[in-house]
Amino acid sequence: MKTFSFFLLFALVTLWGCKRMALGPAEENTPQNNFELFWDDYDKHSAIIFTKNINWDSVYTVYQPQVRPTTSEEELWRIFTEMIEVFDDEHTSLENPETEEFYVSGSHQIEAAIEAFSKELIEREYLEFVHTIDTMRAPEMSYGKILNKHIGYIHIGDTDGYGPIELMDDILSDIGQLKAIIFDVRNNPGGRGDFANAITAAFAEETKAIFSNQTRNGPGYNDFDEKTFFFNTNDEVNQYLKPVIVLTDKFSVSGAEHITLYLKSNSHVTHIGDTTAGAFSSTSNQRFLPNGWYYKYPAQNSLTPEGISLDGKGLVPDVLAINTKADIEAGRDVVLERAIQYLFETYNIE
Amino acid sequence: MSLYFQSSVAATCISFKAYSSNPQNQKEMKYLFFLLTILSCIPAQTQTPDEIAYKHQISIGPGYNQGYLRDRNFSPLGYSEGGSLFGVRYAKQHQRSRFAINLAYSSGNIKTPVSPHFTTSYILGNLSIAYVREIPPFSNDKLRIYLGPQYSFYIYYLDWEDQDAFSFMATHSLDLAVQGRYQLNDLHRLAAQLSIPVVNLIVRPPYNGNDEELGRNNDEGNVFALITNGSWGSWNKIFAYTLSLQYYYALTQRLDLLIGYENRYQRTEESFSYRHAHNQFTLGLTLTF
Repeated sequence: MKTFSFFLLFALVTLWGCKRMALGPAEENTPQNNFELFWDDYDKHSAIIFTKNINWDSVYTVYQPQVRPTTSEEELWRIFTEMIEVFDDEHTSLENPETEEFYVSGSHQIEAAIEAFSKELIEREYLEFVHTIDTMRAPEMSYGKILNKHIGYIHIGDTDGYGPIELMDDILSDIGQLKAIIFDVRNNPGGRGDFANAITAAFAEETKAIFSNQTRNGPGYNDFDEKTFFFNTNDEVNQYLKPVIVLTDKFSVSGAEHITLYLKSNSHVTHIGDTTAGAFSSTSNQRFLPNGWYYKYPAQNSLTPEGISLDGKGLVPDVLAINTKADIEAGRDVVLERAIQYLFETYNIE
Repeated sequence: MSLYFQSSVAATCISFKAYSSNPQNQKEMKYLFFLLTILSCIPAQTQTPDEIAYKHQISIGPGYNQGYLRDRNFSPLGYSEGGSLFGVRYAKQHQRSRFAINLAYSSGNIKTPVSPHFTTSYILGNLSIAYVREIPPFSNDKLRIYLGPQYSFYIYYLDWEDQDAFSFMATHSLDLAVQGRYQLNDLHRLAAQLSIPVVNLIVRPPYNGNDEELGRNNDEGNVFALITNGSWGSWNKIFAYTLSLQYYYALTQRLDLLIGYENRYQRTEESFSYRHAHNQFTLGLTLTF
């Protein structure tokens, strides 16, 4: 028994006595230390400083003196959100889970785009019928037929789902006989890149490189690893190579931009609407701060096969068309109307 | 025996403290630590062991894993760890050697006092295969000391909010293992092992979580590539040890009650600073045949 007691003693001493020795000192939860960790993490690891050519040192110069030991949480939140607003990037965000405050860089553009889009208006005023996809297959997806036109309509509000190639095959078995399809990715916050590839496979003319990614891997702002090229999937069994219009707005983000990119690589696709958000590359892990906030940023540089950076710039439409809040309130979607008009003017489809 | 355990505790904590508080003397302290800990495993008194009559030994049992983690690849914060544990062990006893396979799995959460929202799930797995030979000068009727090589695979995976943040540490190592087995009397016996990795393959993800090759291997389910795509190193890259203690109480001639304790520490700067200390307690049964 004596032996067993010493056995337990050894275990308990080791158990409770070694935390600080094992881990070293804890990070201090002071406004200055939170600021330094936050700024330094972007400085060492974010790709967007390079892709958007941001003078991050000047951000330090402006904001570091504003952070003092007495800086309140509200004031620190203002400072941090102003710091990341310079990126104007939807993949850059800050969250305080305690107060449920969530800030996305460039969110003013998203808010305007949300007000200038109404799915309910489209379904009520422009569609002959609407079929909503089971949310188990795709959480935000529906399709239908434009009223009195030989044009199909597909809306994807979230770039995620199950079995996208089979899903599109099912949709095309219903509306694939129509002369044209309008593919609407407005008000889409993004999702999975592989879903974007697969859901557009039926519209691919051939297999080719669509874009490449480089991940930041060093302390220099332009330290990136080798390019990894991404190729589209070509669904040769069920192809739809008739005219296609893809509609975007400023709230076509990430996965929605990938859908647009895959579609635009084909000659039978025309891009109408507003320039997309410009948030292509994968984000970092969420990063944690001693004050309980967390944040993330783009860690990659996405490029076209020609080597042009896509991040921060977005995809510029072939035909510019922008809704306003007033248009929606007046019961009109001028972007959709422009697409219908374009199909008539260019292909004589009505 | 009290001297044994007191010296063991003292050696562990003194060397640990010195090691962490004097970074300029890390190398020297590391060797001192090894020496002290190895010495602490050798009892002050030696008695006459009762030779094990059976060749095979299987132990199984649940347990609890408790630890501390700071993985700067994942977070600058320090975390406490807790979760359930299950272990299986097989050993084959020869006249002058032992072969042992040890498998352990644990899952649970790591928590930080900073925020309840940062609680993260972890999975820990460990496989070790050891072949050790008796060292006659240190052995007698009651005590047997063994020394030999051990292969260890260790993986620790963190997942916050369905991979919104993740990290892992995987190592394959060739260890130097020292075992001691001590027969107190017909009912009680003790065993201890200290293993120190000598050659390591260290597998870590990149800081920001993005790695095309990692993603591709993950998508393709290429588990072998996922756990072997790392860098080689020795004490220049990673400092680690595992110290385990077992107490056996004979319930019948072939069945023992097993109480086990294991303390493991890993420290590396490979792909950002990683420090992990954990303690595992197990309660199980051991069948000899």
